Amino acid sequence: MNTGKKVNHEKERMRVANAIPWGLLKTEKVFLPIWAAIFIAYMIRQAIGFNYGGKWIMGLPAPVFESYAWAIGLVVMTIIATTFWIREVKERMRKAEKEDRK
Amino acid sequence: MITSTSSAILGIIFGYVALCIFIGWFAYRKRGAGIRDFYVASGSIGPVIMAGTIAATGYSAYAVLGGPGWAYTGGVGPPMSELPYMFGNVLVCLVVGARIFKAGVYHEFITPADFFAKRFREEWITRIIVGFVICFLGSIFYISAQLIGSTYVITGLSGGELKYLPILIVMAITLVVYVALGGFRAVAYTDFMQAVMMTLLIVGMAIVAIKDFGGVSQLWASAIDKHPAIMTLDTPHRWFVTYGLMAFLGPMMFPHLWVRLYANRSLEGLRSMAIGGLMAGVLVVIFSYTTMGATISATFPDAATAPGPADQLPVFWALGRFGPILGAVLFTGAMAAAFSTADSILLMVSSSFSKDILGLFNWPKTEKNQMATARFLIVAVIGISLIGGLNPQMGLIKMVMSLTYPLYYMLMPVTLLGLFWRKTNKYGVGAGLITGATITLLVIAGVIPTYGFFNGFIGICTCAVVIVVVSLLTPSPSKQELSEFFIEQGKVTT
Repeated sequence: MNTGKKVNHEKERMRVANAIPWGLLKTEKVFLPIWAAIFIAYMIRQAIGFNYGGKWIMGLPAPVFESYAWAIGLVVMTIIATTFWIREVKERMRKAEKEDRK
Repeated sequence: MITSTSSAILGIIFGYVALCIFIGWFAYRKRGAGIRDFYVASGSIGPVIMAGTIAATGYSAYAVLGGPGWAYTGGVGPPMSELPYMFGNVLVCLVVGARIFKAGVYHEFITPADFFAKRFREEWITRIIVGFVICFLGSIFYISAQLIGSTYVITGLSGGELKYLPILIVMAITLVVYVALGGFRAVAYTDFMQAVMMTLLIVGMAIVAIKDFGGVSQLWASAIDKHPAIMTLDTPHRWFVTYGLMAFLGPMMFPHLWVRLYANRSLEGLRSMAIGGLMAGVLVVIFSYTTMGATISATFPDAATAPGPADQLPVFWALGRFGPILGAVLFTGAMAAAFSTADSILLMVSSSFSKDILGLFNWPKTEKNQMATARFLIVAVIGISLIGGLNPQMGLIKMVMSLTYPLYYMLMPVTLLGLFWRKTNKYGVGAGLITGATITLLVIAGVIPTYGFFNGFIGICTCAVVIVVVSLLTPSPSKQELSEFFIEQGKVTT
């Protein structure tokens, strides 16, 4: 790898690292309790037990449908959480650059 | 003399093997200087390759073989325990992973133990427990499981004509060649290709199976009718809750995933890791564990007359559906799944032994010797893993879950407390790691009972409690000690 490219990588990495705080970001403070609540709800649901009992939903045995629904819901939640998270870190990177220029 | 079918299967498999070695050679040509470049590509991996490598590394042979096999023997309930891991993936990637990345950038870490040694200013206990016990000992059987998985594919496709041992050895040699050639870059590039192949395989097979049965409902109806065990949904509650909690908090605690944070270049790379890992999980649960689990249940309803062990049934299904040649083309995707995890662990284990254990004795000293040692260790580790693969007695998932995960997840309390509780000190961590590792090893050996919990649970909880209690009873790290790790603003030094 040539040295110029390597310096660029290192600069990019350092900018990102500097923008991530050691403590929690605002997004994390909001999402952590929500995430924990959903996870606990899932664990309770699992502890109650998925019973088949001949029940079908949208062409799938009910428990299989339910697990798919949890998985897809999780994807949606993840996309929302990561979008906010990235936005906040980018904002911090922009602020840091502005301060550097000053 | 082998039949023309087996020769064709061998030809396809060797084609795949040649491709992996070519990528290894390509990565070798792109290499940079130094041991850090060999082990973590000097932090130069971009977001696209990062998504592929996380997806492929996180899901191994069990994604294609072990998962459906588990659903076949134990019902679809147990494989649903994948969901807590998926819940935790994004959270741990962003909240914990981003801080590990940050520390990795500031301190140029190579191994997971580097992080703990620097944070707690303690070399011997952290490196021996994290580097040797968790990363080295905990990973050997993980590599064995992947070698077994890829060998099962080929022996299954040839109807047993191609023998287990020679194929196992060929798989091991292939891994050694491309990992030793190109280091982390070879692993990441092959992982990307392997992620694509694995995705095409599991989605493609599920679609064909659904079409063959005339629809999703018909597939499930047939599976439930012929093999009612597929609808076993009960998971032992104590096991599930304790495993679920560990899996939720532990995704990036797998050392071979952890080092990807050191190799990451960008912010988008962190997002790729969170989303790539999750998407792979969703695909695996929907298309492989459940749909393929139902397919093999409907096709081989009686385990006693099934053509092979449960882990191999997806291969036998593909053999019957597509014939051996097309089956072999498809199932290079299963080999890819196994290889992508095995190569990552192989490299991580080599780096841990070299940097954490040999490094304690300041050996090897020169860069040339470090590289030679790294490559020698890759050969040595695969040799040890081969022994574990000689006589496979356990299912693939059981092997990994009972022997490897309990040790990997022990990194979780140490990392969380180390990052977010500044009072955590070297005395607490030393005592916690020694107690936790000892208890976990005794549980794995069967000396201490599991009491129905996930078998790493007792050791991990003890580790956390001991860290907190001992840290409270002993002097806190000084402000200066903490500021050396928790640097506020770093500068480019290259």
